[in-house]
Amino acid sequence: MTLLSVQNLALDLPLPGGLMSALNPKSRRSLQIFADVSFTLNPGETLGLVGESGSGKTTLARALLGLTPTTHGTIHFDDLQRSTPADFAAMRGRTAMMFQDAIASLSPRMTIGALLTEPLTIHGQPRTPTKIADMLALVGLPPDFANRYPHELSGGQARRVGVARALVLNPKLVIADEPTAGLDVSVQGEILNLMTDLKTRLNLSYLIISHNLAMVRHVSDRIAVMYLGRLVEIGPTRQTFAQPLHPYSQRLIASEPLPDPRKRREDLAIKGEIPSLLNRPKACVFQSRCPLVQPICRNIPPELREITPHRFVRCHFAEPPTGAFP
Amino acid sequence: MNPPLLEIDALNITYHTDHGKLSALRGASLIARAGEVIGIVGESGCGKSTLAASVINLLPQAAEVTSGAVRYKGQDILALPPDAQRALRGQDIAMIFQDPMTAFNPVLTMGAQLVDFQHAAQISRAEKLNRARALLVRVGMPDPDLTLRRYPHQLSGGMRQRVAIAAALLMNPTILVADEPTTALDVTMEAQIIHLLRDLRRDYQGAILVITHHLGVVAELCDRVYVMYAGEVVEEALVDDLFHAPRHPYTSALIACDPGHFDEPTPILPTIPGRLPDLRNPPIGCSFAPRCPIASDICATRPPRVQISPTQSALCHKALHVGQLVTESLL
Repeated sequence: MTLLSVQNLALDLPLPGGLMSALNPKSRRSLQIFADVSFTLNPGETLGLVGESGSGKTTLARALLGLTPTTHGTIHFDDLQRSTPADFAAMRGRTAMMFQDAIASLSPRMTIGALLTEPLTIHGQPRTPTKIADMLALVGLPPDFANRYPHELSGGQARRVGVARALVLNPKLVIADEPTAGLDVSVQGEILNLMTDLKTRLNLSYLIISHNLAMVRHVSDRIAVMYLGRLVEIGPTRQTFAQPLHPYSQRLIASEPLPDPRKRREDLAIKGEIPSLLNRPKACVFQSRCPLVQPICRNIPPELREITPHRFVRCHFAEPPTGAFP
Repeated sequence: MNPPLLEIDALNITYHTDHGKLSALRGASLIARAGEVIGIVGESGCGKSTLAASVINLLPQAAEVTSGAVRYKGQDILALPPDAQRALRGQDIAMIFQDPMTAFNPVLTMGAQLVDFQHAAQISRAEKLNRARALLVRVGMPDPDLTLRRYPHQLSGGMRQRVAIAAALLMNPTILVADEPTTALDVTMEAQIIHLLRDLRRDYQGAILVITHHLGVVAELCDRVYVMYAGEVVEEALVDDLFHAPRHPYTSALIACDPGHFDEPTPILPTIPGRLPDLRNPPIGCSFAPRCPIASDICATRPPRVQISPTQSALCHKALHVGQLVTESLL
């Protein structure tokens, strides 16, 4: 049984048109943010969604919670299809979001205590006297933090409050958008360890969105790679990192600078840059940077295929991995 | 060995804040020679940006240099009159900033700005444009003529950073300071900028200072590294020694915390418990001691700078015994 199931989800945003488009609505152009997104998330599982800026990861996350409308496709949460605002409102008590900028996502005029109980008020749930202290304890903060204001917190403490606030309603699914962006490496581990610990204790599912591959690798069970609004590869984290099958995943992983001067990369893994959404390549989205590009890539859009069990790749030329993996 | 191009000698910088004086740099020293790529690495609040700003004396108003010197080719630039300092900036010492968006004027074309940056050069406008075009080619811009006509917002972050590097190189400076040059970029762009900087150093005669919090960038790019913590340089080493035989517990801990350092996924990542000391009231002894896994009573006293080899030193009582001990105790 799956917690979240997404089928062929797509989002097109209409572009603001000029006078001609007002007279002739058919001439209006639209911008495709993402399309053909399908994946599932099981209870207790962590899926890492990685990709570069502009690949559509954050918009996808918002769409999953009904914060952005979609143009095609279906979202099932807890085996119920969610499409209308009322559907999403009904599931919002069991989903939560940790936003990118931890301090900015906390209202500066509310105390931490008030911020932590606000979701209970909104959802009409009773609040026990010890609720605030319990939530603070859960994320490893002392109880006197309830009277502090967001500007009095360090980046790491604000993240902890963000975790506590996300968990107040006992959600099943937490979407964490760049949970460690802007944190120092010595603090990053604390937040990730906390999230891992809470996942086991509360049987949470996470969708972790990040461009930080090294981080995602340690916290995800499965990983999904997004490029220009398409999922190009999904698979178990360990196998995907050991032997990525899509040319983009291969180059993305090889681009990551390693903290070891003996492993300097002398060859450049990927040239050029991500095309603008306005100039989305036809057929395969990666064709403009792919070294293996063939005529077929410019004519026929590749499907997300299951290359070996549990590993899905959107490439005409993807082949099963060589060698055995544990 | 070459004489140092740049020598920062026991620099102390204090910020006057609403909450009292804050010691941002405490006796920081650094040497950069021609042809070297120097890394300055540390976490937020360690003073690395203050150190970078001191090299071209672009310190904020609230900063006061209480003692020490910054010598460029033997001359203390902090003691120079403002005009003379200004003449050095861009000409001899150039800077690449973290955010390539705000480094350019949004209402002027790249061409106009790249010509303006050469205002001190006694050459014609056409020659300045040619020089700008040649440097854009050098930094790998695919269509330099088009780039010269573009406004900053019309270029992507990676492209703007390339133009910023070209702009910094326009006057052929002797020292290039890059403050977090890849932090605002995606990983594939980051790799390209690292390759570009690495490539430039081959025919560049000066010294490059790279300020970063990213150990991966240091490992890929630098020859020699200074690790900073709480306003002090806690370790200085060649890049290979730094990653394979660190002598300061903070360096070991920092490397151990980097998730990129593990070949296999680990369920629990190492962290450094505790936080930075309050620099309004810096500790008398070792500033890392409260967070250090191998600290003992002696660490309450001022640590010595232990010279391990001609190229490596660490500010630690136990520098000779640091090793696996630290890494193990963090897990």
